[in-house]
Amino acid sequence: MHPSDSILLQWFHSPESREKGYTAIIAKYQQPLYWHIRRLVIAHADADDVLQNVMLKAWKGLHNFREESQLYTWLYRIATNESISFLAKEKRRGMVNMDEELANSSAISQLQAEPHFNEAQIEWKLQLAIQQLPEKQRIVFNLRYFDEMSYHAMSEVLQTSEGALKASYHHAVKKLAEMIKNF
Amino acid sequence: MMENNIPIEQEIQALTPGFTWPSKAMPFQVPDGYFEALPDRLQANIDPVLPIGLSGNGQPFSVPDNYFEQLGNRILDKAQSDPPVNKGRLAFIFNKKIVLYAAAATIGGLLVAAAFLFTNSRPGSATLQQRITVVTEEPSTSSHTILVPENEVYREIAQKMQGVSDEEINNYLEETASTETIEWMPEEMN
Repeated sequence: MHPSDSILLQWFHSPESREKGYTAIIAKYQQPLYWHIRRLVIAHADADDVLQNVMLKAWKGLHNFREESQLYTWLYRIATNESISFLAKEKRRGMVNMDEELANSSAISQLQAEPHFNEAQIEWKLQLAIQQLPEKQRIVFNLRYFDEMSYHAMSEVLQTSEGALKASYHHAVKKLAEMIKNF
Repeated sequence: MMENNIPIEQEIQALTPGFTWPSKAMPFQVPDGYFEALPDRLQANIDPVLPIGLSGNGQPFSVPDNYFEQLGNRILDKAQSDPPVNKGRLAFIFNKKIVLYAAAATIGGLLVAAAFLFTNSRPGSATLQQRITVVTEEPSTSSHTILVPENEVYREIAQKMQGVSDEEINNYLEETASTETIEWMPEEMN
């Protein structure tokens, strides 16, 4: 059982217990953040790099953290931004004008290169289908379906209206079901 | 943190009726012991000096020990040791030069106004005769005293006009006066 966010922040803001607070924040959020990042960047090594950047930014930014917003939405926001930045960098490195379709096919190749990849397994099918969604729908679907995040929290993470997020999620769900049926 | 599962499940089933969604288990592999070791690895990455050096309000600057505790007394000591000097904004505004310029401007203004009143013939001002009457007669005998400014200029003119008889003045006025000059004259003067 993890301490509440307010206790974690109290620990962090006190110089004597700062490191204890930080370690406890990592312990509480490392897995959800890791999986959120991993679903976007695919490879473990990349997810690990991005997560380290996220936690480093959290360490530096927690001093200015506005406590009116929730800690977990704040961390998810950093994680999402870092993942998108990472993917953009990869896209630039791979090809100057790589379009979304090509980037998606690159992600699919990465998935297929994963150890234990099994095309017949429905969970892998879902991952393959997710990679064919536009980036925004991919993020929204992941946050809603896997992280079970409310639209309200998602709107804080992605700085988008709840209505737009609902529309994105609904589009994504219908597309994914169709794609999985056709695999 | 998480929204109730049921609405999310219901939502997705309503969107794709009859479709069976996969489990939410991740098919990806993670190295053994990754999450157990992660906090220590992340802790090793951070520079503990940076945040510990930050004050409680997140300022990156540091201040000497007990700076704020002693600040009030230090200011008070300084205020008491310096003699009070009236060099404020008001002192600047009322410095000698400005006062002299202001006085000169006021005197100049008064002279210009006096000259204007003397030479002015617009409606509302008195005739020369009226002005002379005021300075030569007792105020109580004149019903139009208030129309005439009493100052040195008029007194001087009155003195110079003392040798001129009323008859001569009346003749002059009859020759030069127009109807315009009396149209605006106050009622009691007609």
